[in-house]
Order: sequence, then structure tokens, then C-alpha cells
Amino acid sequence: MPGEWVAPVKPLEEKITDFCRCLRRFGISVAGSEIADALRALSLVGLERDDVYGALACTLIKEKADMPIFTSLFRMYFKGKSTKAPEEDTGDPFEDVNGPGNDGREPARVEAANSSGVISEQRMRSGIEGEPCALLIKAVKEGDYDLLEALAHHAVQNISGRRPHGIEDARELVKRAQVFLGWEKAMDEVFEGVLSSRASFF
Amino acid sequence: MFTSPEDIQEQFARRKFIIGLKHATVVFLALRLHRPLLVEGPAGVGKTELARVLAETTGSRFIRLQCYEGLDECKALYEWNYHKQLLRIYADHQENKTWEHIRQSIYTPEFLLDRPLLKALSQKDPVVLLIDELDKSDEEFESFLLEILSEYQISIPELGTVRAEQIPAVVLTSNNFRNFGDALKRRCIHLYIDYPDFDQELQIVRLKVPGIDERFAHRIVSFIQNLRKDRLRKAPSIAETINWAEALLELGIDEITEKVIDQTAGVFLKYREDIEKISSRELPELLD
Repeated sequence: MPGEWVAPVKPLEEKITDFCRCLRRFGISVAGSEIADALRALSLVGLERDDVYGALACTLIKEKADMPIFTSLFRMYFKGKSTKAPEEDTGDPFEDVNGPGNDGREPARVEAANSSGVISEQRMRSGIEGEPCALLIKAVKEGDYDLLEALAHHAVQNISGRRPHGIEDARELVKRAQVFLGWEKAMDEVFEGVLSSRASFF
Repeated sequence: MFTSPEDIQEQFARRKFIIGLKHATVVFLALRLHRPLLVEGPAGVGKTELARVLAETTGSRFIRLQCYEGLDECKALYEWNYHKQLLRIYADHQENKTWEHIRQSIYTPEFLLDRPLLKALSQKDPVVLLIDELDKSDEEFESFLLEILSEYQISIPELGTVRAEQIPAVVLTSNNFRNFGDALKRRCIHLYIDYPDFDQELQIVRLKVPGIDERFAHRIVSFIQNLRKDRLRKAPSIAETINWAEALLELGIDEITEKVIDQTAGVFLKYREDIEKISSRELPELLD
């Protein structure tokens, strides 16, 4: 559909694959089959920017928490004009669902977290990869304080058996809690993501 | 089958189900790509209803599997009818049938109790299979389900393999009590339904509570929309907006006052702390 696709520098397949690689760098797992689904979806809805956004979102993103990252990457990556309004105006078609307009509120999760440690335990076991590191990234991305608190609690429990001593000891304890959470790894991932996004987009 | 997302919107609207174009597009894609539709979102936004309306509009049979902790294959897939088998064994025994004969006679479809999943796969007519609140089931069940959703076939050791007559439209719902494994998420098309915006909710109230005064409906919806912005333990769902509107209509009330809220807050708020929280708020703020 010539004329509608605003940034056809590369063939579509390559562009989408590239975009998915980028999502992965931000910790969003995208499988090959999902890329195939995304391309099939595009062939069904056409290449208007808003439709592309919707088709990619529902085939590639399976966690609500990943939506903000997806949305900002999409904006950077598909710099075309929205068919309805100039960019950054009402540019993002999903703003009402997942964008800043939602002020990060997420009723179901808040509800789940409120009902005490039981859920936290469950989420701990079956988080993204069941890994504290992944959950930590998730909690930060979501601004989920309940999950952060649960993680901290869990980390402290895992280094229990040590009597609380002076400052030196506390520092050591914090270190251990960080190791348990995979703090370094999480930070590396976040920084790497930010740096590489700068490199390829600005 | 639907020709476009707009077609879905239109047909759903005829069944009094309001769906935004973005959401309709996701549903459209799931159907066209033959992928299960994983619907997530807070309780009471119409996830289950979506599946039901989908079945109605496509003229499909609606088969529902309600998930719960401990749900297993026997309840989800199939089970042998032991009582009936025993009777048959007894009857055959009276007639001095050989064991070989008896063994063959009791493992036939006649003695099979088909549960929702098997039922959905063995239908000749189109089916919408709703697997409701999958997040409440165990992880074991999830992986077992995954197998069925990728092959669309079930093997029954005594009978052989049952292959789906047609690929059912599958809708999975979740309230986010736990996350699903990557494998399951990979297979699905994801739809997140949040609370509706003002216009949409107003449209729903008009549709579901005919006879409500236009201006009053406005007031009710903006009040509920404002409540959702508060950090309540349990925000009011669409169902609760409708219930409240109906209750007010029934009571002959046409103005929201502090007294009215005091009397009827129990209809849209389900926790004491939430009710206390809103009674401390200034009313005009919430009605704006």
C-alpha cells in the first residue's frame, strides 16, 4: 500500500524483526512464532500507523507491564505520522489503556498484592522467569511498590540466620540481599537497554 | 465469520455489548490467526461476557470451562464412567462372556464422560471455548492445556486420538492472580480490557438501564469514573455501575447527594474501608 507506510526504508519483515530484537534488549521476550503472528496480523489490518500499533501490541506483548516500554519504543521506531493527528498530539492510540493517562494504576495487581504475602509468594514462583532479578525489573517498570516490598522482604528472609550487627554487617547484608535479587544484573540490563536505544535511535 | 473489526463492533452492539475498535481489532486478529485470545483485566469489565457474545454472534456453541485450584484432566477433559462400566461387567459376567470380550466392551464411547475440552474438540459445529479464570488453575494444568491448544487433539489411550473437527475459537480469561508461562503467552493473542472511559460507560448505562434520565446518567458515570481514580481496595466495575443506576432508578432517586451515597454505597463498594474512604471525600469533587 504505497503512500500509507511512512517509513519504508527496509522491507517490512526486516523492520519488524529488527524492532523485536530491540524489544528483547529491553527484556521483553519475543519468540519467532510471535514475529510470524505479527506479520500475519499486519497483512490483515494494513499499514496505517494506529493499526500497526494495535496489531504489534496484541501479537508481541503479552504482559500489561511491558506496554509502556513497547509504546515508547514503537514511537521511536515507527516515526511516521499518525493518520489521525500529528505525532505526540493524540499520537498514541493506546494511551487511554496503558499510557500515562492511566497514572500507573493497575487495579487487579494492586488487589492481588494487597491480599498479603500469599500472592507475593505465588508471583515469586511464577514471575516472568520465576527469577527475582526479572521480577525486580518488572516491579521497577510497573512502579509496583507492593511487589518491591515483597521482593525486599523475601531477600531479607533469604539471608536470615544472621544476627543484626553494626554498620559493617548491615552493609554486608544489603550486599547479600542485592545478590539474591540479581541487582547488578537487573541494573546492567536496564542501562544496556537505555544505551543501546540511544545508539540506534538518536 | 466477521469481515472486519468494524463488523465485530456492529454485531456485538446489536447484542448490547459495547466494544471499542481497538479491542474489536484484537478479537478479529485472534479469530483470523486461529490463536487463543487471552483476555486480561480487572474483575467485572466483561471478559466472560465477551466470549458469550462472540459465541452468539457467530452462531457457535458456547462451551465453558471454569478453572479453580486443583482442576485436573478428569474434570476438564474426560473421565470413564466407572459405575456404568461396573454394571456392564456384571451383566456380561452373568452371560458368561470372556474377559477379553468384557474388556473391549467397556472402553467404548458409551462409557466416556466428556468434559468441556473434549466436548469442544469433538463438536462438528463451530464452537467458542471459554476457559474462564485460567489464573486460578495450577501450573500443571496450564502446561496440559498448552498441549491441547497447540495440537488441537487429545489422545485417549483406550480409544485412540480425537482430532478436532474444526479449530474452536478459544478465549482464556485471567484476573492476573498469577503470571502464565512463556509458552502459553507465546501462543495467545493478548487483549487487555480496562475499565471503559466516560463515553463508553455512559453508552453502556444507557443501553443496559433504559429509561434512565440522560443528565442523571451523566452524573452517575462521572461519579464512578472519579471513584476509580482513587486508590480503592476494590474499584467499582461496570456491573456495579449498572446495578447502582438500576437501584437509584428503582428508588425513584434522581439526584446524587451525600445522603443517597450513604444509603447506597454498598451497591458499588464492597469493602468497609472503601466506603469510609469515600464518605470522607468532598462530594462536589467526585461529581465533577
